[in-house]
Amino acid sequence: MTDTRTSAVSVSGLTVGVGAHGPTLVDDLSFEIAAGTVMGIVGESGSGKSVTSLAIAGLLPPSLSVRAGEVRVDGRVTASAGRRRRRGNDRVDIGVIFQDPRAALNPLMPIGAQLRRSLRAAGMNRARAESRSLELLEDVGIADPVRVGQSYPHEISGGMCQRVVIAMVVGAEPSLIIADEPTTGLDLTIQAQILALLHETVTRLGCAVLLITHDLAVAATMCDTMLVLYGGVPVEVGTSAKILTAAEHPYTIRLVAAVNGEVSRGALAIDDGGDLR
Amino acid sequence: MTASTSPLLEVRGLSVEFRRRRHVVHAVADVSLSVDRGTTLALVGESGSGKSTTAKVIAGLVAPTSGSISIGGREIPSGFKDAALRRSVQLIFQHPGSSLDPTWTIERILAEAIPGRVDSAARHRMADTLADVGLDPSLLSRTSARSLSGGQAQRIAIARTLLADPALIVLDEPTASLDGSVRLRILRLLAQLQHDRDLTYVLITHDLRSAQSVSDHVAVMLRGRLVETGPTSAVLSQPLHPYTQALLDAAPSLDPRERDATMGRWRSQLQSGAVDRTDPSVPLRQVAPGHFAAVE
Amino acid sequence: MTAPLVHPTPPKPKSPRRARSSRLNPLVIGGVALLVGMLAVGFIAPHFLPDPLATAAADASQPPSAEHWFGTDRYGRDVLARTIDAIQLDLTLALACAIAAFTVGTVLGTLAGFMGGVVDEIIMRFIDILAAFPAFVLAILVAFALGDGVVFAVAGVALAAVPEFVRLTRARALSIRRQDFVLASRVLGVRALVIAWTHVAPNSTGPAIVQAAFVGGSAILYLAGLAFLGVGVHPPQAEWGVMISEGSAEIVRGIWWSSLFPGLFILLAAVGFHLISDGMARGQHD
Repeated sequence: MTDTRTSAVSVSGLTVGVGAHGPTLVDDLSFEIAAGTVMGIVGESGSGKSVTSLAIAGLLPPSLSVRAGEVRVDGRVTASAGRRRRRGNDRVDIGVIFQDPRAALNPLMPIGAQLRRSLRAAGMNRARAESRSLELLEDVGIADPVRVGQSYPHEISGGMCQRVVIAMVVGAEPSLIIADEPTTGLDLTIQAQILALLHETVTRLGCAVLLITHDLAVAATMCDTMLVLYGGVPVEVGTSAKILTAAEHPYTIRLVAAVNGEVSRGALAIDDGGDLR
Repeated sequence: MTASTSPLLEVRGLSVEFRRRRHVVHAVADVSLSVDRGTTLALVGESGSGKSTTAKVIAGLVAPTSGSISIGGREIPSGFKDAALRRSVQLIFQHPGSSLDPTWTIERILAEAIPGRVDSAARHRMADTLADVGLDPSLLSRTSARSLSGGQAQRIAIARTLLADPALIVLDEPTASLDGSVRLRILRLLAQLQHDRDLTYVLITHDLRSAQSVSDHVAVMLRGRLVETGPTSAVLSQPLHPYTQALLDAAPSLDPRERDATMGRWRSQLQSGAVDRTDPSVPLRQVAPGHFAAVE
Repeated sequence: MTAPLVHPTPPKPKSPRRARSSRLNPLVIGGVALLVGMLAVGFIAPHFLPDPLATAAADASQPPSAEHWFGTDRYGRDVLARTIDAIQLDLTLALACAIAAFTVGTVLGTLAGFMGGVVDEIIMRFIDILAAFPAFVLAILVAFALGDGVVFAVAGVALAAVPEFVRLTRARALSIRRQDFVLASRVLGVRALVIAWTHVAPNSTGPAIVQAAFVGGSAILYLAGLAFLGVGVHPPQAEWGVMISEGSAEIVRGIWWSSLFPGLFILLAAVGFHLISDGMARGQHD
């Protein structure tokens, strides 16, 4: 049984930029995620939140580099200055769920085959992978796992694709799941189900989840702790309750107020000091 | 609701069918709505609900298969033969960036809404309208809309719409692609403009909760049909149809105290998935004054 | 059990705009410089050179020397003078082909793509017929039907280039017409043809401009070839194709200079156009 006080993820002083001298995208980011908890990185477009998730996963593209700082998952380093990708034989348990589920699945391969393949890559034998893949599809709420297993990604809905991705991620039993805008673009009711599924996974597996989102309300419901990012700079970090009700930094206060705000109909003076960005 | 004013917009029995390769898609099936002048109707639904198609029919971009649309009592023939009638119904798009021609100057974009030559009077109008939407009139001399932020671009689109002097504006998820901090400002701007110019809005949105503070009436669509309509406060406080309830349950809340309750509702939605089992053939019937639902 | 990372394809992160290879990249600048340079030489140099049309039987077929840098042709005319004299003509004709094909092609392409339906069908069938003919054959047919003058040679080559312009522009127009800003204009009540002209056409011509530069280069080659065949420019007018035609009879006797130098200038001009075309194509990919 994992000690929930152990930090599954530890990020210290992470700074990421374009090459060695280009613009800085993430500046001196530090936080920890305890196992079994959900942390949210909240930011608007251009805040650097996606770059952060890629850096932590060790998946930065060649054009970006880690200029300073370090990321450790389960004690092992996944990113550090000068090294933007994990080396081949580093085995770290990270699962990633991206925004576009169809981009995460091979369009030319049936769902079941992809799931079995990822399980076998984890070391399972053929028979076990077969039965486990059906189990996983059921666990994510797919009613007819055999039929869906034989379908191709384009034949099933976006919401169901995302469930399949979650099944693949869960199958690898990771210590950390990074979910980068996993429900953006999905219908509201589907979003609720996907997020509930993710939440259930955390409870069952005891892993840590890093949820990247621009939707403050989603973060409020899903996350135990939150970090607010603005222009690559961490602006505020703390428990969800604190950020939502007792924020300290002016940007956070405005953000919460803006999302929380009411539009009163009828005559009112437009408080228009210009848009926040 | 004053009974003496007849509604500005009336949609009767609207149906839209699209022919795909081997079958027919019923995007909209038998939808009837009415919207009073100066009010806002929120048309709520998820993907495949038909709300966008309905919006496009009202805006005259898609021809209906059957049914009729009337503005101010005048029935609109498909294609809007009358120029004045054409300009009285305008549309604001979801993605502000792509609703502005990237090769045009700001002035030209706005001028397209003004018939006739662009003289100094027209330029005055454009500058005033820019100020009305919260933008600096000096933007008129900008050569391109490309460098504008989402919020600014949407304001330009609103300014263009206002210059056409419409009575009815259809807004297709106008804030969905904007950052959270900008959304509220744009909604407030729209509310202000509605009050100042007696505009009527049909607001398409996928988020029922957000409709609360911006609309007078709500119509919920599922798979091309209306499942519930009525005053916003009534529908949100006493939803009659299970799908409406599902939409309300699915909305995340900013209040940290509601976290567990919200997650609990989401988990039961995960179990039941009841939404899909809605019987589509049940017609709308009046359950309470002005409040209709497709229930037995 | 340690499990390997599940590798879904990561999306490109929103990195700030990298330095774009702009439309004015080195290739484009190089090509323009080359052509402008040739034009400048074409304007200035003739003042210092002998008359390109002056024959001198005594000096016929002389190899390159201090007096005649490019030698003389079989009529004793200075090859350098004639080659330089032809610059303006050749470049102008090539440009004319490109512009004519571009104009006709983009107008037809925009109409076909934007209006769709019957208009689209008619235009595309006509284009299919046109595209079936190789350029040379088409130009010769035009010459046959209308006459073998310069104008008809240009028309023939331009006609052969039209189909590609139509296809490129039509493809763009098809996607542009679905864009929100086109719908916005429709909602404002702007008439279809006005939308086609003011919104669709300007946004659909990007690839066509690249093609126009390319056609300029190809046109040089085709026009030279046609002149060689006796269509278009006729002797004694100095034109590179004409010069090669005249010089071809002498090559067997080892007289290479009357054909080589005009050929080299054809190469230079074609390279100039294609550099511009290639450079712009790369610049557009961002």
